[in-house]
Amino acid sequence: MADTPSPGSGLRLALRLRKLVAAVWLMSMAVFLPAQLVMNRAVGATRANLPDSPLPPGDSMLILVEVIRPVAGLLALALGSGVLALLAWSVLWHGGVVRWWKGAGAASVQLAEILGHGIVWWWRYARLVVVAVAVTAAMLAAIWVPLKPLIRSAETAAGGGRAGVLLATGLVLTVVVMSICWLATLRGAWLLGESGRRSAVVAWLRGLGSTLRQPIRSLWTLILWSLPGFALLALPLLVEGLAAWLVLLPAWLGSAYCWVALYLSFAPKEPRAKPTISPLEPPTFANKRFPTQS
Amino acid sequence: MLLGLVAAALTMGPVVAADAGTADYEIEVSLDPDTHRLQASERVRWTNSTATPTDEIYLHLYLNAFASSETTFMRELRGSSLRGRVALSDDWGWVRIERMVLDGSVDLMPEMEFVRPDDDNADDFSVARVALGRVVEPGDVVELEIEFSAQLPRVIARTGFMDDFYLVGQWFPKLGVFEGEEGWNCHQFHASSEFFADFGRYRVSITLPENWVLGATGVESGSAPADGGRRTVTYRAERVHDFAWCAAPPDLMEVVETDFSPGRDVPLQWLERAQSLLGLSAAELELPPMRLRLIVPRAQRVLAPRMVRAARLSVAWFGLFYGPYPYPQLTIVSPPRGAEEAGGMEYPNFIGTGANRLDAYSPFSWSSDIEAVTVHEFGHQYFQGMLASNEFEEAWLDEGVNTYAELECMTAIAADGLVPEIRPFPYWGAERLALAVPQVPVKVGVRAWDYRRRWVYYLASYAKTAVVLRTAEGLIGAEAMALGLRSYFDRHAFGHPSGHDLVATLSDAAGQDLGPFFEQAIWSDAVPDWAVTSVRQRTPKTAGGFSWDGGEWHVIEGDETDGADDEAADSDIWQVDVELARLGDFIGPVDVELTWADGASERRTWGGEERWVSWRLEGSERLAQVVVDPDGVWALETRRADNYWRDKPAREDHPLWWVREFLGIAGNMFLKWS
Repeated sequence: MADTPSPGSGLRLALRLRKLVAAVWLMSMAVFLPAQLVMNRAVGATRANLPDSPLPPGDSMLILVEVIRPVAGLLALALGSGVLALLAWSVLWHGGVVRWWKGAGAASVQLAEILGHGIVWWWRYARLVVVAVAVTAAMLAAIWVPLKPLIRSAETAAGGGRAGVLLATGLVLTVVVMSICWLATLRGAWLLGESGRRSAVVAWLRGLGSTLRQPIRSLWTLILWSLPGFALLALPLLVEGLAAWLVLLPAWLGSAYCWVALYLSFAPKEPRAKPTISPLEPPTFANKRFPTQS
Repeated sequence: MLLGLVAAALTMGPVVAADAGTADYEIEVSLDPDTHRLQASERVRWTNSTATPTDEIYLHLYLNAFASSETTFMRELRGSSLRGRVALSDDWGWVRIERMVLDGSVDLMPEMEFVRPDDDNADDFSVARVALGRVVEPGDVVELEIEFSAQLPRVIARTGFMDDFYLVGQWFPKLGVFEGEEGWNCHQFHASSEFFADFGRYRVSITLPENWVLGATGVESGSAPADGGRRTVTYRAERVHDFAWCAAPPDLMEVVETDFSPGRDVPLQWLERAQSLLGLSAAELELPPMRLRLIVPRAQRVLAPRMVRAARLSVAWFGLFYGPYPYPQLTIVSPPRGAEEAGGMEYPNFIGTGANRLDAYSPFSWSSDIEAVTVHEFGHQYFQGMLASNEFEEAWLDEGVNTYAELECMTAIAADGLVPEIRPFPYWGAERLALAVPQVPVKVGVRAWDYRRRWVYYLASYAKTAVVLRTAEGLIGAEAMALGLRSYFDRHAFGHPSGHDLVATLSDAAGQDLGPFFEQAIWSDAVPDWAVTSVRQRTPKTAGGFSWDGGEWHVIEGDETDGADDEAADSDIWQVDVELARLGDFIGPVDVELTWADGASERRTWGGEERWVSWRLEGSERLAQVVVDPDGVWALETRRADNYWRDKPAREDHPLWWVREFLGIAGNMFLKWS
């Protein structure tokens, strides 16, 4: 049975794991450093020669296209590898946090320990991501494959208002499905850490079951953390000039905090630490229950 | 002064050219919706309005372009469709002349032969030559009586049927254009070409199911019941060179009857702008009212107000800047889904627009496609409708000039906030980008079917021509350009102007010979491209070496530096060598702005005849900035990265500048393609 998600618990645990938050923050910037370097090298010199006054209409786009064209392949490689690195890193720390939390050493917080756990369990959690992506894609296809011809036929129907309704329905369903799949993956990740559970598919399905048993609470937790997470991520884009530098670092730190807190909000209430075993007791004793225990 | 003279010469309306009424048609046609066939009789009255006699005529049989996969049109199409939407499978189209009589008695059928003036394709039957058996002297009139049947294709290349929707264009045997000593101009139907015909009067009676919706060139002049639950509707049109119509059952399409009322529909700011640019009074710019008929799928009914508004703005813009629309009515058709290929097309008094039901919803409604297509197709009422250039041979003259006018209009619509639904879009920037991305030198002034690829035809005829005219506007000024295009309309409306006529008219308005510019821009593939290749700065003190003086050598004190490191030099004078290069083949004058560190700036014009130029400047400050073409006059120059130089490089002030750039481009792509 799944624990009830608790945003407050996520808030507190993320504070404890502030080194992890910092690592997530730094990695979120580092993975795009190659792309940034390519852009700075390819475009920076040209842009450095542009006047402060507004350019003639279209020049900005033309110049960008002109100078990127020779390095388009390199830029695609940098961006692609950045995305893959971010994915790999996310898998690593998610898995590491579960193993740390469920381990006996939950009281101690060592970043290296979390990352070490993550490396050990990386493949297990990578499988979970593959399952999540596959299921999400399948469900989105299940929505849009039948919906698309319906929308097309509705566009030709007299009145035609149904097309917009169908489109809106499709978009809402898309958001709902993606949210559910995201939640199922988060909850499945915690379940995948249970001893003896190695099947990513079963863990994901159990995560889905947990989500559906507590839909409001799960969705509320997701909204509470993901909205500010995305907003903080986009905030520097909305700020003009040098102030963007001042906003970027704290905003993305805040965003990293939101992602860690979101994940930890789904952590079981107490770490399922190994029972303390007295050296005076036989090893098997700890696994036996007294008849009076329920 | 010259501009004033040109402005004074502008008239209120177009001059009716001498060839109006050269080819008059009376057609009676019956539509059979079950077989998608037309059965028709046609009476053609042709006047030889040239000074050259002839003993033959040429007829376009456009529908035969869809007769098989081996016609010239279909071969050039390479098995796809005109706009990537519909490909013919077995729904072929054709037109067959069953009877042709000259002057009421002479049977011409034995004298008719199919000819292929553009290629030797024996499978193409889109042009017929008919020997008349007598000489038609200048001023003589020939009357032909033709009976023909036509099978409409499934909608392709702006014509055909889709279920019960019909858009019937290029459907009747139609005369070519007799050009005197040059003979008949009657090209085969090509995938990348449109049409060319003489002006005349049309009286067309269409018999179709009684309650069907009908729209056509001209205005309805009568309606009478016909046999079998049908009716015959007659349309008349004057001073047009084509006739198209559409028909559909009332449960599919509906008609919105409205009007253009100048007092209500002309934006005040546009009137003021036209007055300012053309030097005409409000009274001289007064536009006549007219009827608007919108035929729209019931499914798109919610978009009808937006289409009507776009049409009204189009009538206002083109009327103010190019001349009043002289016809009493405009019919606008938005084809239903599946028949989109019939949209986005122009015929006299009759245009096809296009919309998607989802355009009613945000964010799809942010795109200005409805307005852009409507403005573009209405613009063709001028550029080809009344200025009937040869679309086969000079496609740029209607598509490109019209695209220029469309982009000017759309820019004004967006800037003036006249369509609240749409979001700002860099119309000219996008057009320049479209030209820049393929990086292919393109020659505009070639025959439409001589382009190696159809996308090159589009690039040359639409985007490049529009950008060429934008560049011309930058070079001669917005006022001269406006006066030139207005004058072009006044001089050549209801005639067959050529590209050289346009250049001559613009040159007159500009007071300078624009021939060299257009020769390079239209009739060559030369590309303008300038660059700041080097800037060196130093103080005189930094000169070194020896100098001969009074019979002996003296050592010149000072160290050579490139200026970048000698900020502390104590001389008050800086010597600056600015080197510019012309990297492209296009020769033309370009402005260069030189800005000093104290903010003072000067402008020089480089004629650009040589491949490079070096200027030595002196100033009390370092040179801070060099910009080639600072006003963006040369829109045609698409390699702009090396047009700029700064002494002190600008620092990126935003950490995610490139993400913002990409998001901006992605947003514009959405607005363009949604």
